[in-house]
Amino acid sequence: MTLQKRSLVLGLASCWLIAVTGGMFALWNYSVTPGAPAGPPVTWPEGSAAHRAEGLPTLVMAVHPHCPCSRASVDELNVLMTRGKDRLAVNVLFIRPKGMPEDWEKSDLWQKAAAIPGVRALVDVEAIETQRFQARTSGQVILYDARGKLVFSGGITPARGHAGQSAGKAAILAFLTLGNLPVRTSEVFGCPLFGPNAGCQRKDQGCQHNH
Amino acid sequence: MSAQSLNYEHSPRIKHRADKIFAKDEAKIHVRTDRLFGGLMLFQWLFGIGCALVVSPRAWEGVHAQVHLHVWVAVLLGAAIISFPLILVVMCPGRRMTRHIIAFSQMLVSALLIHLTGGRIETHFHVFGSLALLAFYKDWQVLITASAVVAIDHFARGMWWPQSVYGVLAVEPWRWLEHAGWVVYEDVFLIYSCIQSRRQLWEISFRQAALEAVNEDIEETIRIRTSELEHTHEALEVHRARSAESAKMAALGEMAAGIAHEINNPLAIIHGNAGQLKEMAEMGTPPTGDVTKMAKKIEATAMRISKIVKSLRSFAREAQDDPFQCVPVKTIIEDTIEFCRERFRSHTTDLIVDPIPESLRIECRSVQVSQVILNLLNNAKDATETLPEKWVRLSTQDLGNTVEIAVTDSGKGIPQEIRAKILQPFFTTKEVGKGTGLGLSVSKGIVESHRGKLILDYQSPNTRFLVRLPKTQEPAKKKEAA
Repeated sequence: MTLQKRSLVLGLASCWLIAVTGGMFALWNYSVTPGAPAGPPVTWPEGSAAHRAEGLPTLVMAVHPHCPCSRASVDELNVLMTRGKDRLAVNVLFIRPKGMPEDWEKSDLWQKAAAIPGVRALVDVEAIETQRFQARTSGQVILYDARGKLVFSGGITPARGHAGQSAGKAAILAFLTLGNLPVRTSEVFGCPLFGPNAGCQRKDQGCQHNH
Repeated sequence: MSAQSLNYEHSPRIKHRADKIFAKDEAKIHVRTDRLFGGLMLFQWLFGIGCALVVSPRAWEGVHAQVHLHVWVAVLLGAAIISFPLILVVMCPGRRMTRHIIAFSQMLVSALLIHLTGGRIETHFHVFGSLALLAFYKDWQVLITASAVVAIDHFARGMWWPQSVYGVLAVEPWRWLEHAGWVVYEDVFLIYSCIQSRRQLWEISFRQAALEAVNEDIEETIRIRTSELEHTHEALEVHRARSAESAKMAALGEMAAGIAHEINNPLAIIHGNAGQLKEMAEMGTPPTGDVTKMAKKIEATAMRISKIVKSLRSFAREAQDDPFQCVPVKTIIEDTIEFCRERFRSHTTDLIVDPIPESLRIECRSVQVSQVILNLLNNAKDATETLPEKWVRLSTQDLGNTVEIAVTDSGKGIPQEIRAKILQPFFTTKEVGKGTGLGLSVSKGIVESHRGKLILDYQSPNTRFLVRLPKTQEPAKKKEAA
């Protein structure tokens, strides 16, 4: 190989390495950057349309019906339910923002969630219930114990749109099987449930938007 | 053969050649596999874009949607990942650097696809499939590069973003080894396979080199043998020419007596007539009619002597380079008989010549054909010397494209035990000093040079030789011209 050609290859290799490393870094960074956390009420909110089973812990998951990242969250919920089916009441709230047509929320995620045994899929018209639980990111999971006391708030995926073992899922499973929680919060990965220009309907709840 | 193989096994020349063949074949494999990965990279890029479009086409913020980052990543980062290896496949196919960059890139493609498919466990098999594909290079070092990328990726992310790999925020420092360990597990077998494949490839190269060496040796032996054969052939040709000459001279020697006799008789006639003329001249005025008659007799007899001498001169010269000429068979036979008629007469052997058609002609070297006929006639005469019934018959037959000249004698045929040897050089049944043993073999050579055949006719109750000559030599001439 001539010196000129070698220099060209070396130059190309350097540029390529920088571009690829930068790209991969950006992708990983995007994947592990969490969404805005929820600020749920410490006790089960009165008047909620979500079903709360007597004597059982209740889990609420807020989902944007078209968020591709939440597919992993629903998958992980499915995994969770294989071990906690009879120990847990689960509500998955599919938001339908104001102005969206009927059945807008009936996406493949809806079908997926509704198909999980023991899971109740609910249409959250104008995201009232979601805001009641102060969830801001799709895939947000909020867990109340049998007495209606908040025990956990966070996500159940390890990264954005990635299935697999996560701190949130492990905590919930530990709570269901051992009765204790190693962590009470975890990062949640998913699309923002509310758009950048959507004003919070309940300012008092400190609603913020994640971009 | 085994000793030969052993020699080849330890031959540095063959080892050197085997190394060359091996390097060439290995380079071919590298180039071919580079191209395979070139195509695969393009396919994976398109597949990644397809995955992104299907799995995560749009990102949502409330009611607002935009193209998902994964789509841009699939297009742009995917293109960036495959660009450099593709450039190298085009610019430097078969080079070590190219396949290591391909291995590096292939692992990045795996990471990208895992991301684009939402970290599905199934997509992780792409890593293991890629390692198996990289083993196509038969270069275990490539597997090390690929595995190092996986190990470094897990180590680095385990250090800074453990959640993205292990799903938890805090992991043990050795945790990356567990993931990399499964890659190493596959590597062990693939590396073993690569080493075995290379060894087999080298053995094949060695066998090919050995085969080439054997072929070269055989070719060299053939060349030497061919050269020796050519020399032998040349010597044989010289010897054959000398033999032919010897045979002819022997035949001439044998003829000498007969010819002397043949010339003596006319000379006696000339002498007698000349004496009578002299006496008549001494007596006075001889009768004109008688003088004229005697002078004519002398003239005719002198002409006969002249003809014999002319034929003898013609016969004695070299004839192998004579051109082929179309000659009446009758002329050849009559000229030949001139040489031996007297000998037959003196040996009281009847020479019977069957009528020969005037129109029967052959394209030949007439002197050589004459030599063959004379040889057969002499042999026949010698063979009948001790027989009570002594005759030799010469006949001709038109066989269409061929003329057959048959010489039959009153003998009862050639004994079976010597039939096979009768045409071989130096074989003779005559007593020592009488025959050279070359006559028939030389005759056979002459006949064959005319594209004819000299045959001993086993079917005949008497000893009978057949000379079959083609009427024309056109095919031979065409062949020579070509």
